[in-house]
Amino acid sequence: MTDRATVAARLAEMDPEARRRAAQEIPALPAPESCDLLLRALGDADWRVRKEAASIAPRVEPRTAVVFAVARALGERDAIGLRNAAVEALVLIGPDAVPGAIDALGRLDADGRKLAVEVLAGAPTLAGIRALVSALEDADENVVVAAAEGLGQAHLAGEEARDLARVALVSTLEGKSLVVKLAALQSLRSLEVEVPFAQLEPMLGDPLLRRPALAAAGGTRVPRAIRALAEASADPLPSVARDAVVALGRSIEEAWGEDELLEVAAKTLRVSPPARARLRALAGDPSDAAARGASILALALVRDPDDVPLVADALADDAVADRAEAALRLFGEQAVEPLLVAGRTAAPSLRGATLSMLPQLAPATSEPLEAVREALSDPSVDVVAPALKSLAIVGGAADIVPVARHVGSGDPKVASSAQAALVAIAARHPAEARAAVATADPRGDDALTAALVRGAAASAGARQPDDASFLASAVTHREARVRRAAIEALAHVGGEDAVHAVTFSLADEEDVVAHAAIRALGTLRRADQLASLAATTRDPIRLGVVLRALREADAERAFAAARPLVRGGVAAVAAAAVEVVGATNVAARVDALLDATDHADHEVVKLALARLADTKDERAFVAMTRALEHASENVRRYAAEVLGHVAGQDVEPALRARLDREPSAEVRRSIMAALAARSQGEPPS
Amino acid sequence: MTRRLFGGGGLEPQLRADEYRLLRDLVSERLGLWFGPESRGSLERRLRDRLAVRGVASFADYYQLLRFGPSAADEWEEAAELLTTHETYFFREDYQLRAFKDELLPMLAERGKTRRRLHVWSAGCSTGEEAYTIAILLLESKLFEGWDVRVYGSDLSKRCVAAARRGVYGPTSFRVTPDETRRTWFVPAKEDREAWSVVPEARALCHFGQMNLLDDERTHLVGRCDMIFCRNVLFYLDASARKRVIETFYERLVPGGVLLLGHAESLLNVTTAFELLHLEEDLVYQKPMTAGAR
Repeated sequence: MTDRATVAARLAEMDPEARRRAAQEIPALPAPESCDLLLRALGDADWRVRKEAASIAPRVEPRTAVVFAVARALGERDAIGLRNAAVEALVLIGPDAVPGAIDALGRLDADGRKLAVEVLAGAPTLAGIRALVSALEDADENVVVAAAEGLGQAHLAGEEARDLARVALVSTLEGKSLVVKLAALQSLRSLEVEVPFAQLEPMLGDPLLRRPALAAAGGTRVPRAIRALAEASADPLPSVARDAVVALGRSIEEAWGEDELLEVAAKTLRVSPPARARLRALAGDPSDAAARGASILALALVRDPDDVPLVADALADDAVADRAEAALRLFGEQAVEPLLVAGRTAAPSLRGATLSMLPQLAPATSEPLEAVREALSDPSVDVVAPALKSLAIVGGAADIVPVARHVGSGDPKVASSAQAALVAIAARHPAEARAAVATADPRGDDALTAALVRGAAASAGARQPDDASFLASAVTHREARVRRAAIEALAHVGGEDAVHAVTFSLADEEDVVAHAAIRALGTLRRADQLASLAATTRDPIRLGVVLRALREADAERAFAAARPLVRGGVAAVAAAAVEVVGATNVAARVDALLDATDHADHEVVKLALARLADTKDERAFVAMTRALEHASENVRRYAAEVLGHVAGQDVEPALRARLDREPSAEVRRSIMAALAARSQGEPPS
Repeated sequence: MTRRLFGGGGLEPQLRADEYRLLRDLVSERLGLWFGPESRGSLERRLRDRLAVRGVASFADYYQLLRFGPSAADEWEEAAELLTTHETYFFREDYQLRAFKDELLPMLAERGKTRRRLHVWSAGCSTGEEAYTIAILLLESKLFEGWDVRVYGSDLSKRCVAAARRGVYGPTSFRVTPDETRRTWFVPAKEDREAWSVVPEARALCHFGQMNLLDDERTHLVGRCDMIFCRNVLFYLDASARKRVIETFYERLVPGGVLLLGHAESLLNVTTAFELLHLEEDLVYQKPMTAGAR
């Protein structure tokens, strides 16, 4: 049992490790001793003990007394370690610490006030942000700078707080102090506030303010500002040019699709060889993703074919690949030839990426298609699989046989890509595809290709009388993948023979085949059969497949079958039931989903919340705010994230109310991010 | 703000925001890997091919498969391969290796001279370059001749561990390795003219295993270590996984044992259980000598 004397004695030991462990015991002590010992530990000579004390501070009670006692320590001028630890403890305590910090702000010396400001910035609340705005008038410049920096966190306290900070910071830019302006620009950038370019423009001539002013202009859609950013990309100082390019990239993204605005940047860059040289250098630097992505977009505006290989290289960089794809689409057909050249010598993964782009850029009958076809013979699966995917989009009748050679590949990625490509091409060219497999034996080695072709042709409306009998024979093939393909094809062929063959496959020894048969019954609209299966199936995974298939066959019956299962004990079944219920338009689905929010499995609860968010029902909103009180941290965090993206005036107060009570730092972060997302007007997703 | 302006080619499944949250949480819970709000595109790209391989139509179905599917265990193996970063090379972060060679090894040699045992764990060893680098430095030091010396290498990826066991490396693995070191500790590989194979002497010190660092059962197989290298791994973990992994390291280290993290990583806001050990060129973490096994 822990008692004050023991902990106090251990906090006095010589060994810092013993003192650190003693600090861990403090929350178990009763008040007021716990508070005294907390302060002692916060002022320990060893940083590990101080850090441990700060981390346990949120668990020491009574909280109000702790907050004011720790806040008093901010005024201990000669105990730097204690003061820093006190700041950390108060930030970890969170919104409850704000009154203590505001109180300290009103009565401490300049150093103490600066620390109080740090607390208010670290635990942002509306009241705290108001106090930070007032602190911009402080007599001490260090306090003002800290307050300006702290206001960069205002978005985490909601829309009103962000607005207060925006107004205050923008007016600060009119002041004389350089350091305050620097801090304000940085904070406005954090708040993603667009500062009027007229205010930024004079700062571009100041060597110290130029970089932050350029960064603050990022995202602007004002033509004059875009031109200024493009010009600054040629700045002789690499760091300035880099920031200008990143800012320009943000503006290009904002203006994406608006040719007139993009042309402003393009014109400026075209006449500036130094700017293009800078863009090329940054586009080739994989260590700076922000600058690389931005420079790739900027180079695409210029459309110099010599830059295509540089942009193509970025296809292999996960961090900027989406920008590289967008840039290549902007180059259009112009990019094809350089891509082909680059693709010949590149590493397999990059070669595959270039092949994936070709169909989007070139007409189907040109040389690029030949390059894609040649790639089917490449030894690397990283080249063959993308080539097959490209052929799925642009392949013609001549590609049926070469693609079919890969459907049985031992590499699953190649096999699945080939099967998808064959199905896509056969649906476009059913007659030629059928001719290619005319002599196939349903029990032989070419049965997989034939089953895929017959299924694709049937789905395109080109059925043949012998399809059902061929495929019914193929469902007895020795290989499971052939049986599965045959079943999927029968689903498209339809008819009683197909149903009969599929039904028997429910007894297949391979799950993958039996599940395909269940799904096929859904496609064949066999609602009675599936409803009966739903009532008798015990295996949870299989039941999930049945429910989904029933949804496809008859949504109302699927709802009726799934409704009682949303609260069932087996998570796999409940999850499938929630998914089925959520995908229907039945009016009672909201009640069913609300029931699921009480499920013992957290993943089921999260699924239900996700589906509830889609319903836009008032009760759904209530359930989501209730989920902020859920026992599971994981669910609370998820609910906060969802609430960050749903419409409704009551959302922000609900999030704020929970923020004041939320014990988990992780969840608090999610709530603050949700508030920030709302205040920045992120679209519902 | 997270933007998805550019989208994909349009034919392949897209990862919706709600699917992303569920999948991201599941990956975090299972593998400890954290994907932030900006990483939706990255997760989508990495896993997209698996949907086709598994024959599922959407990321929601793929999530169900990973969560509840009968083949979930197999699929997690594949997902882990795709979601982990395998980039590494020999003698990476040389300043830290100098500190290891010049300061830490003499310290450990002095401390362990009675027991004559040195166990080092390369946690998150990828394809094995770090583990073999450690083995080479141990052999070059000549401080541990006749000792029980072992270098354990572990990684989440089965394929990486298999590559580490093979011990055959191409030119990119040697991007900062001096030619002389390569000639001394590697021999040309039989199967590939451009590749080099680790010499048997260094190979003999290294033991590799597949391991999720969140899996207590597996991590206990490593035994007590004198030193743990975990460089550029914590960066990919979420806060709670990071905490759990560091607790495991603390528990696996002998008192006085040393933990080396990547240059951009620290234990700030993770734990206070380690002491800082100031070396000439580096700062490393040390389990306090007075800390017993927990």
